[in-house]
Amino acid sequence: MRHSSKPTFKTLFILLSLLTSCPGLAGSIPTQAARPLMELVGRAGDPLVMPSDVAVDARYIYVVDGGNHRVVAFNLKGKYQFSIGEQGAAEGQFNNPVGIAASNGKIYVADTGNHRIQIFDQAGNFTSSMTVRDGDRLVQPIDVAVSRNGKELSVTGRNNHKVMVFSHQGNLLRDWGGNGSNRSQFRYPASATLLVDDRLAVVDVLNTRVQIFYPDGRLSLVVGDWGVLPGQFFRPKGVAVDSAGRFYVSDSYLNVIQVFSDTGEFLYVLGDDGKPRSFDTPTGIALDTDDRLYVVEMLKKKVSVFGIPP
Amino acid sequence: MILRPALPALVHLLLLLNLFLLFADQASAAPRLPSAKRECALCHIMWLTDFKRDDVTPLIPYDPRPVVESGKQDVSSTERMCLSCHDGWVLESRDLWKNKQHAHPVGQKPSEHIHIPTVEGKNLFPLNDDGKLYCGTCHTAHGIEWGTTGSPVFMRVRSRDGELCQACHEEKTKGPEAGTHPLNKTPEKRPALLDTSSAKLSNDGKVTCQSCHSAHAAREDKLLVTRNDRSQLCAGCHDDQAAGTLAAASRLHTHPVNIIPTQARVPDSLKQQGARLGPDGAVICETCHKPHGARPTAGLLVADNKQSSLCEGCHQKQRQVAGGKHDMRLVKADSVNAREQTAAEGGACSACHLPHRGKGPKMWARQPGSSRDAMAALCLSCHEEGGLASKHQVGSYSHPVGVDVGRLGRRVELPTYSRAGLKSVNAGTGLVTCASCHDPHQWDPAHPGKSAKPGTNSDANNSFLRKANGPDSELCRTCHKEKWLVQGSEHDLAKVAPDARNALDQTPAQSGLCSSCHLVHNGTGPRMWARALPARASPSAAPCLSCHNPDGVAAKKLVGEHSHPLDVSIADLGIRATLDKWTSKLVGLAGAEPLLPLPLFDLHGQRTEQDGLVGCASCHDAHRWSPDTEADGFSVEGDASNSFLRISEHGNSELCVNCHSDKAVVSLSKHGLKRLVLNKETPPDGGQSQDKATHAVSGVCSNCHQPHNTKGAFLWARNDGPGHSAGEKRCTSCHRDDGHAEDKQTGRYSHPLEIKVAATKPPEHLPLYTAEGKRAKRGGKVDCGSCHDPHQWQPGKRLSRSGQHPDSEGDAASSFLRLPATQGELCGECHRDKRQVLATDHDLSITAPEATNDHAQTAEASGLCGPCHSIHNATSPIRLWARALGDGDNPVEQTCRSCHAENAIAQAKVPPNTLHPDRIKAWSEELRRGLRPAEVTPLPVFNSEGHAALSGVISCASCHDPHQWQADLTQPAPGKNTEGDVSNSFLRLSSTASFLCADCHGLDSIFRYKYFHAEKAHREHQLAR
Repeated sequence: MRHSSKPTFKTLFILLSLLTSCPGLAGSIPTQAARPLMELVGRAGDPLVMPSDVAVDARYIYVVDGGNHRVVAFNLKGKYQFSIGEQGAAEGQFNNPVGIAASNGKIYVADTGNHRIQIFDQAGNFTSSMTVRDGDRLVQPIDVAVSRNGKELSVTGRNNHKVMVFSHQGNLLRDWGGNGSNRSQFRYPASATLLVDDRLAVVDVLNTRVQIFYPDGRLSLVVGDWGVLPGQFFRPKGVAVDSAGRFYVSDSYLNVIQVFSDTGEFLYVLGDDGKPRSFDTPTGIALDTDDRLYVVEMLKKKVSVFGIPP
Repeated sequence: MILRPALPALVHLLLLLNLFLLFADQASAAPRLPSAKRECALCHIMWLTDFKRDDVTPLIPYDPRPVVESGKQDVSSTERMCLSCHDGWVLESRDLWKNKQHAHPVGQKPSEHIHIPTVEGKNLFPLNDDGKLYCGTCHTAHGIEWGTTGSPVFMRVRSRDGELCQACHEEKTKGPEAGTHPLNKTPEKRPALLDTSSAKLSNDGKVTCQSCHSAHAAREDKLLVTRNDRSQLCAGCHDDQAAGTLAAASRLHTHPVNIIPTQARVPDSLKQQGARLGPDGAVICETCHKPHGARPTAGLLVADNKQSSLCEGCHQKQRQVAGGKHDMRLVKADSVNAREQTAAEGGACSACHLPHRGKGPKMWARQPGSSRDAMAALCLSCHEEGGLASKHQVGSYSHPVGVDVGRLGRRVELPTYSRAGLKSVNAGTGLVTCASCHDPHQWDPAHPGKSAKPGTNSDANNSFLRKANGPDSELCRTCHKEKWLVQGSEHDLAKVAPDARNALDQTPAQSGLCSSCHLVHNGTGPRMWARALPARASPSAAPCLSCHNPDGVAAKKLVGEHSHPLDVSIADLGIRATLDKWTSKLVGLAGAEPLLPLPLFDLHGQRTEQDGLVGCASCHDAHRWSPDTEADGFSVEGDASNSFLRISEHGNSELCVNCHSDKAVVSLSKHGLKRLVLNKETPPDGGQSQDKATHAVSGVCSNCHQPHNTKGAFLWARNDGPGHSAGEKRCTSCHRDDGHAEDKQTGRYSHPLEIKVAATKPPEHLPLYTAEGKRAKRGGKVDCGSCHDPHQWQPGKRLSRSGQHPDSEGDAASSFLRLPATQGELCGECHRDKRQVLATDHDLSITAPEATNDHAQTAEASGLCGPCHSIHNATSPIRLWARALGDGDNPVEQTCRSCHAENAIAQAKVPPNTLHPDRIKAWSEELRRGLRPAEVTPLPVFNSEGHAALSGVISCASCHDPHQWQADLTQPAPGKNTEGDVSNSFLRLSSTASFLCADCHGLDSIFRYKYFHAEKAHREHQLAR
């Protein structure tokens, strides 16, 4: 053997391999920047209070202003337009509403405390309401998603941990779920959003995942895991899908929004240079057809709007 | 090298492994298996080992004990950790974050009042690293009881009954004795607060901390579930004590709240002790009470109420009750109020007033006495028999309470109340009650601060009066202004009898003018009389008679033994009387004014509101000398325009006529005596009236009547004339020689008086009289007034003036008769059977209408009976015959022959003989009936005076009844001049078969018939043929 002071090629190789066996150097978090566009806070003297969810259609941005038991509408430039409802149990009134969807020129609000879904037209006029029941039991609906033809409403229930699909006339077509941590079960299903191919993505809060189902209820995909590392969830609340089919999931304790591929692989966290952008209790999120991201920041009482990375 | 050939293989393997690892996406590693640690990490996020790794960067930095708003504490119980589920997506609690200002404080160190309980040396409720309160002090996810009802709130200790609060806030659990609101008591009824706020009761329905407070998202400051600046919180349970108006306070017997004090004032010292007021300075519950930190006595008071000091702090004016006769501590210190407090314990106010749960209005602390008037009942709780002030009762005759001062029709400057005890706001409305004259707190109105100890004397200047009632009776006059006209009049005892003493042994100067006759309390009789009452007087007259008696102050003004009747019902005159209106069935003169309502009384001498009896005060108003002027009439002899009368004389006896309206028509007749009323120098009775002092010359009634000091019946104002019966003597006071009506006397032979009418035939429409001249209901006798109504000239035509001229001559249709005598109506009232003469041949209006009687009257003028009988001034005593008697031996024959004679009216019917041989004394049917009861024909026989007797002669009238055409009355009277036969002809026969004379003469009677009847006269009769 020759003794030499120079590291040999083999030592280098071993070092290199050892180095490369660590996945990332104290791993920097993959981030992509989101461009802040505007903020919606309500109007002077009449701010949003504990908003929970947001939905967008061709004309308006609708925000569930839960603390004031109403829905506030802004135009696409972010200017306050009108508000719908007040606290109460009558038609057009709300009691602690949580989720919202906008589709086919109508707005669908999960009026959780009144156990019903209320439907309004684009201008905020009450159209109809549908009490949500699971058998004899009144359900607390958390979010609602509407099929593109407007004929089916998918409702997540907080107290029965199910997804229930109703016809637009209020008849239960099918449901699935139940309380548990197995596949297709939920521990507090939260946001629900429809993909372009009619699959339904439902956030499963305490099971820290997003489950995607075919329209008939078969499980298609599970996104996410539990934990504090990138690609993992702690308190997932909102889910949205962009035009490329990527999943955006908000985490209201970790204060991040994470992006996954259409097959469920973690891509990046919204942020700059390895540092995740820290939202403030981000809950409901939405993406419009122009791929603008709307994020409800509950404790900050505002909805922040961003341009997403391409 | 030995390794060389092996190394490349190892390196390749390593390379491959590294490549694999390099390009492996850690996220797509197989999901982790469930682990127990995961559930802990739901909140204990910093326990995740990924934070400790060097090779990965977690999404958030590792910070197990962050510094947050409330200080440094464990991350698992930070606000954000709780919010991460309680944001509505897992559980809904967003309103707790919405309304953070009214929440249990966090981020502060607990005050020194708070003692956190410890378990094994460790705080049961931990504080954060800075020693401050944080969420985790009360909340934890560990070891909690998961129930099926409601969502768990992760409390460290079960707090359904407020145990968690009470564990630290110990000083608030000790109850009212420690100055804090009671806990664990069951409210009497379900509080409304449960429905209007988030207030809760404990599981078994008891009061807990959460009944008033809410730890999170409370609506108001101090974690209260509702505001309390208008006592809303207290009233949510204590609604029976939260009376928001004076009316409600009076009804609920409690101190009012939510009103702005006007009489009382909340002192600054009380405010400094923590008394609060409502937004406009109104008194609220928290003015006196504090739910926590109150004085350590029952009652949760802001300041002590020892000896009623709390009451006195605001109610300064009423302090003066202390030290006086209404200070129960001096009167009877051991008497207890409704709360079993003695006066000595409770103080002056509390002896009579309890701010809550009183027994009557004004927050009465004692059992009210018996009275329908709520305010009077308060006073009577002591001032009645058996009460603490039974020595000071008002007596049976006392100033009335519950009377509407609206009747006075003007403002009254004394307080008045409703029947329920609420003070009236508008002067001039409301009811009089004790408190109208008395202020129970203030002894002397002139010296407000002065008090009088029990046992000291009282008089009308103090006695808790609102106004002194001195010599000018100012208190009485506040209401009874119009009665002050008595001053200076003959009823002003200070002037007329300054030494006379009332029942309290006071002279008028000592008692005051009103009190010389009226005692507000403990009167001797009706009208709150102040003087001794005469023994046997009617209650309504007794007050007057207490002076107007022979031994009294007004001994010179007596009414006499015979005076206008008292205690007679006004309804007897057909008058319906109410306080404001009198209506009469009697008709007065045409165009007469409506009746003036006069006071009427009941048998106890109390004024009635409907109907009633006549009393002195019906005609007299003792306070007012003259109804028309305000003259006092002192030392003036009164007449009918004053004399304390209510209606004065204006020439038509208006006072008399107000009741006796039917008698007013006398002024249309010659008894109106207008032409005869002489002036004052010659009184109508020629100066012979016994009592000149009471005589009044006025009005048509007074010519004959006077209300007092009269002779007897009919209140006669003139001297009697000759006669026997009372009525006769009154009429003859004028209808006698030298009297005003001496040309109208009854004459020597006149209808008898003092005749008893048989009980079987009393007159229906004519009165009968007793010997004294009073109308008799039974067993009375005929008197002048039986046939005559001296007030009305013409019966049936009340307003006739035909008798007005003194020289006008009356007839059977007038003459002050009660009924016309034209067809015998008058006479027929008694002499019923005699009226059969109507329409017979003896009805001279048919058979001899031109013939006149002795008074030159035709039958028309004299009436049915008049052609033969003269009521007065008859020519003959026999049957009061009105015609010249004819021939004959027996008076009966003579009366018949006055017509049945040649050249007389009935010359066609003249029997040759009218007398049975006078040697024969026949028996009357009464005697014969005794022998032969079966067959007796009526046969009166006559004595030598012409009167029916038991035995006597047979005369015309034995066979004939000149009044009755037909004996059995089966045919009506013919009505025209008729030739009779044996079946009528005024015969007393009962049938044609029997023959009058046959009783004695048998068949021979036929021939005897011819003895009495000439052929000429009785040609038709069968016997004559």
